[in-house]
Amino acid sequence: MGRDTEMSRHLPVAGSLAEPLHAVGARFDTPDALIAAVRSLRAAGHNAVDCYTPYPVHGLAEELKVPKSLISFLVLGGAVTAIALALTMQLVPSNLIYPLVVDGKPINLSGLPQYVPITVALTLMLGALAAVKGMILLGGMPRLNHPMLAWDLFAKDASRGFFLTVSARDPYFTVEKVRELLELSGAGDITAIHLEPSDDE
Amino acid sequence: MSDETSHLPPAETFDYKHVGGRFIGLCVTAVVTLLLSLVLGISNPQQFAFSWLFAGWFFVTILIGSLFWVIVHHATDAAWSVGIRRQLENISCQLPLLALLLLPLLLVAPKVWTWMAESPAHNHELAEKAAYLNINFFWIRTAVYFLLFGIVALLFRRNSLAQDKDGAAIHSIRNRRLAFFIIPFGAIALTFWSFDWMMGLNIRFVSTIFGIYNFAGAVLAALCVIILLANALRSAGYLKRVLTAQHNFAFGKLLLAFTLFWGWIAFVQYMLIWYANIPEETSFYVLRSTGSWKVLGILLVVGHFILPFCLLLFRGPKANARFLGMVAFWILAMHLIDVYMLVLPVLHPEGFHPAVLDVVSVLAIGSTLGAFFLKGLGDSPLWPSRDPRLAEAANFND
Repeated sequence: MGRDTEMSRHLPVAGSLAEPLHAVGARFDTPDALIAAVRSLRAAGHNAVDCYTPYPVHGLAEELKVPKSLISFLVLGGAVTAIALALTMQLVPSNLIYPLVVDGKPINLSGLPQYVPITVALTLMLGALAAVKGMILLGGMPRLNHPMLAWDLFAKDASRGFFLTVSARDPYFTVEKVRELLELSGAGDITAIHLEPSDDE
Repeated sequence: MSDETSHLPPAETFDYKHVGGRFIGLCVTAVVTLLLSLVLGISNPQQFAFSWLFAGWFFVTILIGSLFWVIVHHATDAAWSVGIRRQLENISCQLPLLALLLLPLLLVAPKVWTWMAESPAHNHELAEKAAYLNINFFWIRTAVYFLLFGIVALLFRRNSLAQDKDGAAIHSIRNRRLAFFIIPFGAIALTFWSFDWMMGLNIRFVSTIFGIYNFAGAVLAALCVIILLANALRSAGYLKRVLTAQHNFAFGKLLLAFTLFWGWIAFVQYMLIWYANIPEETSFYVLRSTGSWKVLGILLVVGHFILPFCLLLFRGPKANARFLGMVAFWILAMHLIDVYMLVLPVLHPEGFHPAVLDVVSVLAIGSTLGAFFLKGLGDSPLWPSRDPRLAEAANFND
């Protein structure tokens, strides 16, 4: 870390130099330039690349090799739980605890149609809840701060360009190499983003 | 991203060398099966009436479903579906021909809609409904359905073809207005059409959701047909610039959505009738869930809903054109059985009773429509070549 901090003195700095380096950030004017930069960084072996764009850029997720989201499994899990829960909560009381025949309808599984609406509704609800909560939690929320917010240019208006960071935790990371690659891809505002001192110290 | 207008795909026109023998084959099938149904029909007019109505309604749903997709395209100002819109227009414009093919129903109508043979004076139920359910009004309504949908389908296509010539956006706007106009009237017309033709097979049966049930089947069937047609045209080398892998994924999602829609509507109709337990309504399901009809009923639940739902649930296969084609073919077959289950149990309440005429009728109407469709396929570019949203459609990214 010491050497990186030394090197990053040549770059504009965000955050506090006393704190460890988080990433090197850069800004691009167009989504095409951003995608080209991601491609060249990944070709050089940098896998800890992340992007921040004002709107979804088609093809970017493929270049970043973002793995398939876990959301669909969470939704499936929520839905299957809901089906089991709804059927149990309807069949156990109406068959075992307090059997009550209404309107001559069979109370066991051959009366399935009457149990379906509630099962469907609960499946939808738990599936949707799993989707929303899963999205929030998998996205790393809730959190009070993010290292990127130390970078004024980004924090004040993240919609003014297409931002890219290479994390300092990348195994091939050196400030010099990343900077060179970024400059070659036409990046602007290349910045060393350090962490901010935490308040409770 | 890059300048999209410079990448407008050049118009393609269908070359008949790709059909060749198959077109002749279709024509021969059409002539042979039409003659065969005439011969078989004279010897057994009642079976003919039911089989012809079954086959006719199957193709009515496909044509009306295609018109629905054209309407949705224009009403929502969609971009992704520009590449397939011309084919949807071509299919829905077969309506006048289908009306012609269904003319024999005029002769055998009392055999299939048995209330026509009865006198309201002797049938209290019919007397109560006579203001709506009388022969003259029935045929006027039928004419209105064909005229309304037929004229609208032809107008959509005419505007679309005019745009191919001058590229003016006004044609898109005219079509959008037409779409807004037809949505309420079309919804009402299709509802009453299915009341008249399908529910009228048993005038005691009533179900307010019946029109939506037929609509759901129609939209799903038309989607299957357009997926199969898109696959066929692409395997012949066409449409590749305007229909990409992204469109497959869109097709897959819509197929899943409308499978769910059909399943839910079908279930809701069943569940409400089952729960209310009113004899007028339950007779419909009692007939279709006793004896050998039960097997077909269960096949519909599993094959029309559960199986396609499970197959289409996963993301990967949904983007695969071959897989989608197979699922679409399966659902289309299930839709055929669905329509079969609406019509034929009325004729054979004792149980499943396959007849040569059932197959011959589907082949006769289907191959005639198919032959005329192929004959007209080369008359216009395969997609609206100067649609304002064509570039957007070709670069569609889901």
